[in-house]
Amino acid sequence: MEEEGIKSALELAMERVSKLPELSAEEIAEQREKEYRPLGEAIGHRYLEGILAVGELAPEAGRHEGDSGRIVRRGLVGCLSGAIELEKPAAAERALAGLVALAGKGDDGAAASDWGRLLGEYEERRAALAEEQAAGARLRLAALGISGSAVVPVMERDEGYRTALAALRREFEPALERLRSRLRREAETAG
Amino acid sequence: MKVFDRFHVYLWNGRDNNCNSCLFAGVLPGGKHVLVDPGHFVTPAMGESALERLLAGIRRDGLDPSAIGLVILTHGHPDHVEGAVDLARLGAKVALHREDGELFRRMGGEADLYLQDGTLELDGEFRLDVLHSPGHSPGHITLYWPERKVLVAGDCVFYRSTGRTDFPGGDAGQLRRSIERMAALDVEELLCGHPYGHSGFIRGREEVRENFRIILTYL
Ligand SMILES: [Zn+2]
Repeated sequence: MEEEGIKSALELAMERVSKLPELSAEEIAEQREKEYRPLGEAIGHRYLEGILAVGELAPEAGRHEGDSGRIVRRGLVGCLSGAIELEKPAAAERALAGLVALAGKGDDGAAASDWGRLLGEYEERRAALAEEQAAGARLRLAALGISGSAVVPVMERDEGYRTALAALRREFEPALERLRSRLRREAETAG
Repeated sequence: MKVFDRFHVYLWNGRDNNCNSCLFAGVLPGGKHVLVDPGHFVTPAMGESALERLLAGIRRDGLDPSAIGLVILTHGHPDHVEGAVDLARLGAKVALHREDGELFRRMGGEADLYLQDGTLELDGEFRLDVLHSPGHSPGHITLYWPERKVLVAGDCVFYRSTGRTDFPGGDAGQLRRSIERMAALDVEELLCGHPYGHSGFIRGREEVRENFRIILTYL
């Protein structure tokens, strides 16, 4: 028959696989990480966008078992902890609630109060900074002949303000990272 | 067209839609000018060179368009702000209300300063009152020059009519309150945002009063 001379698709695939170099344990782990971590991150994004409810996080992550399940959960937890940012408090609070739920705690008052304290301090310092820098920006506008009670400097475009704000964020980062890593640890191990 | 010392108006007379503009001459340090609402760069439907016409009008008045130091936008709609993007590239600062800042950003512009309800002092001696006048857009402002009783009304009022409130952020109740506030001012020269059914430049205290009376009766 003619077909004898033609390799089946399965045969071709098997040949290709047999030609692949053998992977080390480390490389296999890396590949699994690449494959499963994005699945967990996607669950996190769907939750942050409001598509998933907080109660759906654990069941969604739990659809994968064993090693791959652990990687999916790590991806999810990483995505949520990364969303804890002082500049986006609404998303941060949603992420925090998700992490607390994943840790199996109905209500983690300590985490919420640590977050609230950090955010409060940061916003207070940022407002003071904006006020301080606005005075300089007003002087620069006045030098162009533009002044008066109607004038509001655009602080987002002010180089001095942006530099000072970046420094303020760096100052808060260690405390924020301590909070993130504690939540991460508890949410990963509870799985 | 020079109306009187320091105040020039440029009334749109093309066939396509574009806004009226005005200029406060030599009110910034170094004799620089303030331009209000440069309008379209090129009109969208008929491709008329709107900004080029405006700048030619300014030159005809013996003024140098490169000496425009500040552009004030009454609001963020494209038919008022598009030309500001080009003027900013030539070094002019751009000001509008924060609440219309996003509309301007969508046109590729960035405000250098925001204006809110209050007094704008230029070069320490020229004073304009800025009125936050929402309704047509959330961040609409009007400018009042008390010394010469000039009101630059943008798209709040036109000759015998008012600006639309069906655009995003529009609000008929707010527009009415904004117009009532304007109508209470002592105005002798009223520059409207568009030449609808009239040049849009209403002159004389009685004419201005009559226009507000008719508008508020039917609003
Ligand atoms: Zn408009």
